[in-house]
Amino acid sequence: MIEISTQKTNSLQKTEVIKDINSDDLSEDDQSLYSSLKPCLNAMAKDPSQETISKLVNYSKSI
Amino acid sequence: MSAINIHSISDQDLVQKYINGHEPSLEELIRRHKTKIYTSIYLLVKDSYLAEDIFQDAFIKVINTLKAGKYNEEGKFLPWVIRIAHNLVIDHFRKEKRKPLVTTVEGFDIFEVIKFYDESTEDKIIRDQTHKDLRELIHHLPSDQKEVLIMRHFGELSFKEISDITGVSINTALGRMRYALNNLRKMMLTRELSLKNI
Repeated sequence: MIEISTQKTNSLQKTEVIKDINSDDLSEDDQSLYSSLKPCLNAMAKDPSQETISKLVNYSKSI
Repeated sequence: MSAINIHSISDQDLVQKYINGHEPSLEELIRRHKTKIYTSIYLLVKDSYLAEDIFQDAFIKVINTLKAGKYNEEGKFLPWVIRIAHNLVIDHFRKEKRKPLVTTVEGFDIFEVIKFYDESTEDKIIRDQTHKDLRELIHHLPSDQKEVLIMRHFGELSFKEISDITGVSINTALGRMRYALNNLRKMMLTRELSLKNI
């Protein structure tokens, strides 16, 4: 009984992994919409200030 | 090590070098992922000063963990940092006793500084307006859907990684992405926003 149960668990885990590999498991319509939105999403990208990055680098060196 | 070499080193190797005392590796890791991490934070908190603080706190945790030799992530560096940042965002909203729901679009307009070459002024105006409208629609998504969209797009995380970070199943993460896209589609139809202008 235990072995059967384990096999079932493994089978479920494999399904999850496979699902993740095919993570673009979106419909064609959704993928098409997402592709159309990408330029806008990309244009929303922002960077932290150089001051913040310098503080982090200095903090790292100080400890 | 030359500056050219460091850019071709994998994240995992940079982490190992940093743990071994190579300080420039940290700067390279920050430089490599700063946009994805900062944007993911910013789009959730919608405040550039707060986003800077959370970005800084996230990397202080990263630095302390690495320096203390407590880094035991078998996964990728970026999902680990995004998880830390995500938890800090959640902590912030818990402290504020409010959810990261969307109200209005903040005033920044990156499109003002983006040059669209080979376009007429009219085309550019239409494109700018469309981007602005679409950005507003994205901000109006429910927070859980926007979160998945942001992590998927800016964090380049798999749905498995998103599900680990947000504590939901892969199917739920995938479902939220679908809902996000469907909601955007509906809102675009309502506003007669055309994707051909994007």
